Amino acid sequence: MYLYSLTLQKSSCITCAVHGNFSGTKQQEIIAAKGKVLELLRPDANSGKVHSITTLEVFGEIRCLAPFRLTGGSKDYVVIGSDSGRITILEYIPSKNTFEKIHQETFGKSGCRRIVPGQYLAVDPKGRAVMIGAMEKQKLVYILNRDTSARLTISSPLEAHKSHTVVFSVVGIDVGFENPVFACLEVDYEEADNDPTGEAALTTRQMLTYYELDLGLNHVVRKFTETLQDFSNMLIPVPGGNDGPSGILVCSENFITYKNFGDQPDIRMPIPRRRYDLSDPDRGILFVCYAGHKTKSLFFFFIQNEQGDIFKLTLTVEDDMVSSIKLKYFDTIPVASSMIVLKTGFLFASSEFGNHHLYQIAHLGDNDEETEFSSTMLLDEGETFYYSLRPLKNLVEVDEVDSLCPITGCQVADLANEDTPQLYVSCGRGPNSTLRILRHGLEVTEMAVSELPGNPNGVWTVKTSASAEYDAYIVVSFVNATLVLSIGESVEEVSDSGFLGTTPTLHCCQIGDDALLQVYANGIRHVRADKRVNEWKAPGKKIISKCAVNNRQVAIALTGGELVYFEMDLSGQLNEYTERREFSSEVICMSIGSVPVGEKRCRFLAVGLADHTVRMISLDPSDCLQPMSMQALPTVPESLCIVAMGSGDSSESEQGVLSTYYLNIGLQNGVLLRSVLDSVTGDMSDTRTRYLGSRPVRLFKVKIQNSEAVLAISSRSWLGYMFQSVSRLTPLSYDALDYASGFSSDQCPEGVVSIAGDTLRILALEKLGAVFNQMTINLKLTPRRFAIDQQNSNLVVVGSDHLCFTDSTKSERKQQMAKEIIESAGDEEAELAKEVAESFMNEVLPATEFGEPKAGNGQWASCIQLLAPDQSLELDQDEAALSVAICRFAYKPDETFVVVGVAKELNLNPSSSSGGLMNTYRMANGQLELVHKTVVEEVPRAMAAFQGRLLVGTGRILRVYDLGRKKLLRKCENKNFPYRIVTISSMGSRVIVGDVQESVHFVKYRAKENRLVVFADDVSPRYVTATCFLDYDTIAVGDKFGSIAILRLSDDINDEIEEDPTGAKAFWDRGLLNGASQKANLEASFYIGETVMSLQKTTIIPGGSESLIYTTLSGSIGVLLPFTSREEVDFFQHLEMHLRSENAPICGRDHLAYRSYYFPAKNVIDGDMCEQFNALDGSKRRTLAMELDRTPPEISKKLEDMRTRYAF
Amino acid sequence: MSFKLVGDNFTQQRVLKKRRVTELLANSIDEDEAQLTKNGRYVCLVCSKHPVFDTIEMLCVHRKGKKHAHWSAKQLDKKKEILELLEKRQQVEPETLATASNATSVDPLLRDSRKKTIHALLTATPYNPCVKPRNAVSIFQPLKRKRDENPRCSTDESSKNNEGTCISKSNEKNKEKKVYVFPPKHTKLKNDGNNPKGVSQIVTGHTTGNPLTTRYIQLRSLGWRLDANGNWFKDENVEFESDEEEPEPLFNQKIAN
Repeated sequence: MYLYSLTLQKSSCITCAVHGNFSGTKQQEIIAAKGKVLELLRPDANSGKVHSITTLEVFGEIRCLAPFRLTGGSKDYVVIGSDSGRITILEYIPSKNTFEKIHQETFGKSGCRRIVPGQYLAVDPKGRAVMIGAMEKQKLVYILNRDTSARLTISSPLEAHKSHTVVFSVVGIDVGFENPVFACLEVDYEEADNDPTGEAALTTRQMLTYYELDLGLNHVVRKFTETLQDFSNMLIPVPGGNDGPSGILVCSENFITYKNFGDQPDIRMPIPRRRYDLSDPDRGILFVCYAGHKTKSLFFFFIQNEQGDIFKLTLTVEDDMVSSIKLKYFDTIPVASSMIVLKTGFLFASSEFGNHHLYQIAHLGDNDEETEFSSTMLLDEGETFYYSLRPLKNLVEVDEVDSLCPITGCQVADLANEDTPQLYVSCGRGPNSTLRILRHGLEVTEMAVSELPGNPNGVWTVKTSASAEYDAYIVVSFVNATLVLSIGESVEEVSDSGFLGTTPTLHCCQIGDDALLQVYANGIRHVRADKRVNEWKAPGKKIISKCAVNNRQVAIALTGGELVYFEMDLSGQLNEYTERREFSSEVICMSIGSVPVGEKRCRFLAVGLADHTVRMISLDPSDCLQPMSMQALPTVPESLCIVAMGSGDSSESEQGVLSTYYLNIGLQNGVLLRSVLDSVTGDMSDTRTRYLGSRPVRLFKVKIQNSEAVLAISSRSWLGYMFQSVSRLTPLSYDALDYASGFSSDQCPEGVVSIAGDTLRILALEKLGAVFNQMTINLKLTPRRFAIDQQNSNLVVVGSDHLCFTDSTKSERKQQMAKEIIESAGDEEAELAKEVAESFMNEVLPATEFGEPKAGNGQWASCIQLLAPDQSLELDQDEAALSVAICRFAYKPDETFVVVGVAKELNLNPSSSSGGLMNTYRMANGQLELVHKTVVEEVPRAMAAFQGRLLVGTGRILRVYDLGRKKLLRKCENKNFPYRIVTISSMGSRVIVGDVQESVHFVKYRAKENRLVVFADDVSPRYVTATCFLDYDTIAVGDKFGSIAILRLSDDINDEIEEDPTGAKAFWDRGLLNGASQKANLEASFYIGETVMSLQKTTIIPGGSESLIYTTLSGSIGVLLPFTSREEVDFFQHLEMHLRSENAPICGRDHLAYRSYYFPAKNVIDGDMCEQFNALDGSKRRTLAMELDRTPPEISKKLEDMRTRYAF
Repeated sequence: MSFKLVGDNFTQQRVLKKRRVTELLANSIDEDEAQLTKNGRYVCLVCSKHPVFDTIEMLCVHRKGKKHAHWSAKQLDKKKEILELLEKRQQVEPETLATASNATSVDPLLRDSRKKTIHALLTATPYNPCVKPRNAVSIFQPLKRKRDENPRCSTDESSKNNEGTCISKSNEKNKEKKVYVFPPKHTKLKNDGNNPKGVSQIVTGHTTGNPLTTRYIQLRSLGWRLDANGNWFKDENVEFESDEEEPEPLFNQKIAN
């Protein structure tokens, strides 16, 4: 078995984000690390949207990022700390839209190890040096400089190792142009390690250590160490030199401290807390994230605590000495992994869980009534400041970047009865959890819908002049009339446009500099800017059947297959070419490309004829209307469209990046052909075919991201466009359309105006590049598992959260707190206290914005949520719902039961619980009603329906339960599983049981003896998270560390074996060496890089073949596709091999080693690597293709075929 | 472990050389005439007393001896006898087979190759209830239809993947029809998929048509066990409803049937 691995949607969890001017222009950009993916984002200040500019898979784990700029430079570089044992410096090249490796220095072994640097990066703010550190012991400093030709150079590493130290945080202190200094939070554990009594461990304190790089002596010294009072988690460097007082802020539990060298005394201040917070009062509070902002005159920080509240932190400086810290509550947003303040006044927050947000900073919070806390305010010991929560005030949310992270489960099913199955994905954490329904397609925003008087047969948008930014008219053609609408504040009908309104229109557009053109059946109407009208009449009884127009050229086809060509001269007059051309058959469609920049005409005209051919006609004056090439088609063409793609925006095309002409041919049988047009000879080559839908394909040219794109309309609408220099063809998730045209106005700079039935619709396509569009259903708590009831098209989600109160406990606590407020007040304040208590009781703080109050350890809240109709059942406090199964028991075959596995008083560390429960609910009329509860001794973590009964894994016991009247009845059990059962799936009488540490066990249920017999197992220890049957003998296993393995039982494995052939039960029951005597074979193995959360064998496109679809915790969705022929395997194996050497991963990790992280990669070809072939530069592509005895387009086509056969 | 000789210790080399020669010598002795034991000694298998020798030279000396020659002659005779017997059998066998009018050869090789030919000539893959065919029809449509036809039959989540064995609860009147065994719902039935009888009559898996066996399996999987007298008793590891009574003994039931 050979598989091809393909990522459908890359991980969306941002682990680290940095900003800088990476393109070398004034514009600020963000580089985000998403596990193994590096992405460049550009927030657009005008539209308030975050655009993804380029995405690069690095085939290694990105652990940290740091931007730096050489002194006097204008361009930022980025340093990557990864698991490759190398330090990598990348530069973004805007012309190629890619990252390039500038330096890569090896310093250690690969992998995420304790003492190999790569975990921490700190850069000197002046860009002179970079420190890369490990969790323990090792730290290296590289000096950055430039050589005579201004290229970046990197020195050999300087060691700053100290053994027996654990590092928590490293930053570069801003010291101006003095020797670079780095500060580290460290713990020296040597003494604690050598003290057997354990006393030293209790007294060990954290230290703040400064390392100085002496540029003169070229070595690093451990300059100064001080012991810290509290355990700290984060360091924040304060601007220095001319910009500020320098020094660092040390964030620790409940306190923030400012420290600096010299005479500066430490300034310490408690972290403010929420007023009347229901959280456990003993919980400490930490700052988790910060963003600094600095201008010439001021600097401040936004720091976020673990509840999501942001504070604005400023320092008061007197005589170069900091006199106080000031904190002010700013706003509350979801807890971020990184925050970035941009110069344009935006705050980008990459959420730890859930969607990322871009906020506009509306106010800096300077002049409001919010209290500012200062370190100079006197407080008693143990006291702190309090602030009240409020909705967003200073920030305005302007954009949201979808993120599925964390995905906890996924199932593919067609519950909506569409032809394509949907992906049901449970994701998120806490009150921001969601169930998302994913469908392949581009999300469409409906800007306007208006009814029209009758069914139109065409729509166009027209500008008034070539230089105009926005369209002026929408022209709608009906059977016997043409309607002209002007675009302004509102859309209304006008009659002074110069267009003929009494006849249907074939085409209309803006032509020349400022003229308009209308083509109708009997002629061409050319409206000049001064409203003079030139008319050309069709000769005799002939009428115009088709036309093709661009900014300077007009070609029309008369009935009978006659072609007439017009071209605009310098005076703006349309002149007919002296000759006409006759075709043997009727012209069905035609298209002309747009005029290239700096040229007078487009040289190609494509004509589709009724004789199943498409002909390219030259429009060059030397051989005008002469045929250039021809392509035969399988059926009659319906529509043609020549588009120039791949140029990007106009500024880049000026730099000499040539765009390629593509001829798109829509056929009447619903197939779209796309050929590359040779820009000299007009030859068509590299034809790609795609079936779009049942209706004939109509093609329309639209503008997407400043470049041409094609909208293909069949029974479904598709958009073909270039995204990140890769061409894409994506369906629109919208109703079927009839006719469309590009649209541009003030409100919607890049939209589409279209006709569907008798309505005119204006649509915007915003989330370009997204593979799936999402429908979101909010959930109350973190979804743990969900089950789909296929019969009733329903879905049951069980959610539970640790450190969380149930609604009832919350209201109890609230009441108690209100009581305390009243009791604690004195006599004179009694009235006031009552009022406060009342307002506190009435105050509703939505948990989705402010988070749930944090409870103590071991406290759980759970709920069972039924969708459609929405019903939510809350469980008691400290009951954690962890598993669910929908079951129809043989005993009551007509009823559907939902069984929920519940843990009581579950403690995570150390793992303990006071038993478990299995709650059985009857699902009747879309409602759940409790039937009974069954007590079990351990936590039921996995359940599955099995032959009219229920299989349950509780702890290390696998049991079969049947429905009883008062409880579930245990019918059969097997106690011989190693640690803890986490997954169960069954096929026939075979069951695969996944253990938390010991891979899978193949179990057979033997009805004759009523026994569950383990007849085979796996030889490798896998920390199973998901399992799935591929066929009766083959299974797929996903594990916690990100590997997927395919295991198969060989033909000679006998599932009828006696578990205990000797009868000496006690000893032999455990099998051979505590395992089964038969072993499964490893068929394929692959490292994904992210914890696998679900596996399912299914088809995801209608008419496609079956594939194995997986989802991961960080929000990526991928497929493993089976190869069907040996030739294909050979081809891709060679391609992968060549790419490994020619296109080595950018962060320096060896590709094969990465894919073999935990188990050697076997029989799986990395499609993501293979698809990087398309991103290589031309010469490399050609040499690589030559070695494979193919041409580059052939290889690209093969790659595309592989993708479209199974997925999208 | 190193395979290189270190130093100038030629004794070691000589020892190795000698060992190699003896190994070469040993080649001339038939495998069934001598055996190398675990402790490195040699056993002569020809002589009836199986004498043991320390080295191969000793064995060689023994093999040239009178005693050995005697036993070896005896063994040769025996071998000859067996060969003759074999020949005889082989000649007799085809005759008996022909008389039994059984055309299939017992030759395992032939049988194998025939099996493979049949397999290769198959137009479709043999029916396997557990393999889901490609381009399977909508999964949930047939399920509903079947349920309507046999409303008493259970179909749970798992049965969509498995053999679909389902057992209805006891209904005294029609015990023969107690067991409905379905083909997997995604399998296209060859005799026109919408024939309801065709659906319910197909029997797969461990449940045979014998109602007694089915009944036995059903009760056994519910946790009942059979004692020596054919009476049912509760398995102590299995839970039952508090008022659940022992089912009728298996053989009484047979009589009743």
